Amino acid sequence: MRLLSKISALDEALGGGLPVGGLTEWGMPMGREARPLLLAFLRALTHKATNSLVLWVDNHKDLRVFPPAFYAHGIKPECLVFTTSKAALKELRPALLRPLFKVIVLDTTEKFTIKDCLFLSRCARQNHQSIVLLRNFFLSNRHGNIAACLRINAWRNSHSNYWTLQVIKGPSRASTTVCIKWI
Amino acid sequence: MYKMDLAISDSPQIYVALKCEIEDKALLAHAVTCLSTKVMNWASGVWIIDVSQFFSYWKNNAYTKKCTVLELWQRTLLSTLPASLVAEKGICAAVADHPWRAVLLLSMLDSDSANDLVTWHSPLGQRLFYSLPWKIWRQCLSQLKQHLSRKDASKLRLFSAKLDACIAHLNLPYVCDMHILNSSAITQRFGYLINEVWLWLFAGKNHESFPWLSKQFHKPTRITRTLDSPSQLWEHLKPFLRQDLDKLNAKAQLLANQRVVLIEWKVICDNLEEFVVPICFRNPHNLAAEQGEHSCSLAQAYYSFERLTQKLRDDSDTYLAAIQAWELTLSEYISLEESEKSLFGDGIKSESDRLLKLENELSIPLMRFNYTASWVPEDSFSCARLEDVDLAMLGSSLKALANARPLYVYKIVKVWHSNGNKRCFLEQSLSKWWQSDGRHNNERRYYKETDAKKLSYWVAQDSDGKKTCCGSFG
Repeated sequence: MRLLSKISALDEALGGGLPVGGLTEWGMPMGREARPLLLAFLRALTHKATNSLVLWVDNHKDLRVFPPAFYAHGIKPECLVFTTSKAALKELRPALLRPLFKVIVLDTTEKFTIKDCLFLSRCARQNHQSIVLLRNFFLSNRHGNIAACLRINAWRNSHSNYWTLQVIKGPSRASTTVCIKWI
Repeated sequence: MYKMDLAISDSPQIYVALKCEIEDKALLAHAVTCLSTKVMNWASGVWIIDVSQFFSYWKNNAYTKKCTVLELWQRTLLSTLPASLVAEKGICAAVADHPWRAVLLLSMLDSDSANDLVTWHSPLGQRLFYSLPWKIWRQCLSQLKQHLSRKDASKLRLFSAKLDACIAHLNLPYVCDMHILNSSAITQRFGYLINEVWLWLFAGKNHESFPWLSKQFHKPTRITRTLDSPSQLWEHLKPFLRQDLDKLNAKAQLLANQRVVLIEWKVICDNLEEFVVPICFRNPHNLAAEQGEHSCSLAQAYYSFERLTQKLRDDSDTYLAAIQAWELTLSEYISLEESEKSLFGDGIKSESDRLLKLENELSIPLMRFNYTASWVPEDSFSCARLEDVDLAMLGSSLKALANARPLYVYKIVKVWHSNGNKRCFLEQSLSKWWQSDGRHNNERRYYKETDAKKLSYWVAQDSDGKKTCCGSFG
């Protein structure tokens, strides 16, 4: 089962949408404007099922989320729950072990070992949810991640409505350019 | 340089001053503890309710019911206060971030014979503050005097020749005109007590110096334990604590609609040192529903216990000695209305209920936000709507504004140098000039700047040309 963004080019690049029941790893350095791509999935989810909760975990030094910008992308405020955690696996363990959230986004600078990723993958499988790990750097093949079912780099082509997706691990290992018009 | 006011407090300071004249003690206790169990009898028929501890509950409850916190309080008060009293006098209550402000506002409402629930920061609240006469100020001071120690009470003069001379000399017809004075001058001329009161009123500060005297309507329930073998290991303490939580629940005989907010766990070490480990719940907790398990209570006890041991290590480089005995006290609980029982209730039903229960098990808070009616980025969202704003009308323009804003903002803005970055204009706005002290530059132009590494930033420029980096386009 997959979560659809309703943007066909984006869904196709991911092999039919964002996998549910698995861990996906995205390489998106802060400032490269790739996060709106992920928000497209969250928007579609929260509009489809109004009781679907999404947990967004952040931990960036000096930065914090600006919720109105998330809502401006069409995500329903009542469905989006924010928290800040320096040690997500420890502090959010009860949340990870329960199927309360349909999507958990870990947008942190915290280091996750392969054991941590395997734990996250197991939680996603057991709870039938999608766990998304956002990395503040571009991913490469040099260091793999056996726990992630999809590894992808994304960035916005400057000052345009085009984003580039580079699939590192997934159905099609190729670069795709996606055109999205937000407004 | 301005600071983005984004430090969202988990438990803000909120007080409600309520006029409630009921003779029947049981009815009175029920009425004044409907919003929080931390209450103080300020004067005859006047109660101050400290809602800070319970604000998270009211906030979540209002979020679920799609109304404002104020509307919910109004509804709760209407259903809790005796019908005859409501029919005759209505609700007369004032909400503020300091008990002194709440009391003054209530006195103003009472003197105007107004029946309403008014907040300090609302336009009506501010209008009443601007027209606060010295007579009411003195009346409230005389009430304050009753709660001060004998030594302080003797120093507090209601009619001071110096103050009267100052009022006449500076032509200060209303209390609010006193803001032109400064704290050190007030201490020097009128004494530290008047300065404290001045700080309570004009700065909303120094909560700790307010003479708060909690009114206990019920004797707190206590359970004590002495361990056969002292230990400081959580794994050893946990099963005994679980047993004691069961006993506490049985002894307290909480009603079906009563939910716990605070349990005090006083531990006594074998070196006779005593520490209080508070077991706080972000949302009112149904102790009876977790009989035999107590996952929420034990999780919160563990976090507090960890914090205590960490604090001891950090402060004095010492370790907690083995715990020999303890005392568990059911300190604070709230009685929910029948209609609220599904929340955290006997059978957890909705996603929202599950979320609230989950929050009680976590060491960090979860937050949901809403738009607020403000174009200034730092004021454009809040985690709770205390008062109503017509968001339906403002919704589209607020969304349009947010569209051009980044997903992440800096907690403290940074000075920015462009160095030939690519720049794209986004919006131009004014800051809230009527709230500033006139020293700040009020015009802001926002740009998206992309540096050589292709990273995009949200940059503000004031009319002096000074640039600050305010956020990052995730």
